[in-house]
Amino acid sequence: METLREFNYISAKTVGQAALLLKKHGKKAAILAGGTDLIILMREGLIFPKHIINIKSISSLDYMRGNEQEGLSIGALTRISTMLELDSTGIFASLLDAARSFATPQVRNMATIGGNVCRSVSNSDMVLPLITLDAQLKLAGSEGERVIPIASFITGPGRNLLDDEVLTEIKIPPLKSSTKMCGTAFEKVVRTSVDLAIVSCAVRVVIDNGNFQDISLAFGAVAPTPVRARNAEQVLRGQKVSTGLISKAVERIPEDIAPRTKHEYKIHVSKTLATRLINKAINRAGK
Amino acid sequence: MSNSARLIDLKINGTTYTMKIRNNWTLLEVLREKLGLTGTKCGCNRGECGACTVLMDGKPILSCLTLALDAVGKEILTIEGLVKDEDVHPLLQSFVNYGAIQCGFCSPGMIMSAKALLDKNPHPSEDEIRAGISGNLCRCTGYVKIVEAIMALANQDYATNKNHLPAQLSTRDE
Repeated sequence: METLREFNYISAKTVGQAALLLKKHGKKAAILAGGTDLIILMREGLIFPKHIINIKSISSLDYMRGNEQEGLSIGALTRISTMLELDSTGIFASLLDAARSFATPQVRNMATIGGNVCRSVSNSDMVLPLITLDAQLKLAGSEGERVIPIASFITGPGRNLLDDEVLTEIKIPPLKSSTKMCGTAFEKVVRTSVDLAIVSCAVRVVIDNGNFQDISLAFGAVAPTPVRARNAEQVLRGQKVSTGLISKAVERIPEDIAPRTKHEYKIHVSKTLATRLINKAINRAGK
Repeated sequence: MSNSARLIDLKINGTTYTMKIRNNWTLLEVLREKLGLTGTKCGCNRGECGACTVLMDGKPILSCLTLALDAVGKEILTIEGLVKDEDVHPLLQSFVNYGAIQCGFCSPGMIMSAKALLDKNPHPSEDEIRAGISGNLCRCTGYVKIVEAIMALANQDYATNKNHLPAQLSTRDE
């Protein structure tokens, strides 16, 4: 058993302290939350942080509050296992789907939603539903706070807009109108539960009088970053819900995704997943 | 940079160990190499196999991905904590009775996950059992006997046995 390389370890008491340490040490520092990504990267020799800033000591970042009317506020240190408490019949069902299929029970008890978002890989499970739910991210730096839509946060594989900042909260806004019917779903294609997604998909539909009032369709693991299938969405938005129209829409998906490997397979699976999840979300919207 | 050892308290299986720990030691390393608690195994050392599973405040976690420093202030339960002299936790007895152990390498981690599952949900379905152990890989058994061993307890009044009352050391009759 090879020991990790040596490092300095500080438990931050506040977000401000963590941000100052990040600014002071720059690339030589790393934030430690659940550790289920960081420790592996260190053990593989992919990163060599000289300063580990533990933020689990900031207890005020672990919370989940709100509802469909007010929106959902999730502290960055909320464990994935906490998210299993979400209501399966509500509009945040896709988040529950993602939490349920996230890695393994042990990892779910350790990993945090903030960590998953900041890992910023194309197949980050929690990121996909958050994109379709128009989530906003609160980032805290030594100079102050800012709020960024999650859709623009991830800039490349494993890269994001954090600038010596700590992600403190994920805020999902309420639906603009509560009279519409809304359904969400998430699914990923994997061999076993512990694997990373080969293809993942999240959907949100808002149905008004049998029409697609709105639709968000996002994919993971089929492009350098998570990606919205905007061409497919455009086919459906404002139109009457029908099987034929959904088939037409999924044919547009290949225009928005760009898998590097397993090209044909991933395109085929993306269309299949999209069809299945759009229908699932429509059913859930009806409940 | 300071990786030098600092004095901490670790609470393992109800006993508090005061010891010097370096920042870069994982809980798994400390358990096995500093405390001699070798029941917890190192399988992949990268969070994929579950052989290193222990309970932290009752929840299953991977000790290979946990810094020892992050275990301070928590209650850690390892497989050794399920055995006291002649008394074994009903899960261990059930694993023996049902032939759920072949090489035994996955067994400590598997049993810790199973204990956490039964503590939370004393009467799980087969699907719930399989989900509960989905983070523990076994290369020998094909999981059937493992599921049976856990199912046997799921069908009993497990809730009253939660604090591992001594089990009868008897074998199952065919």
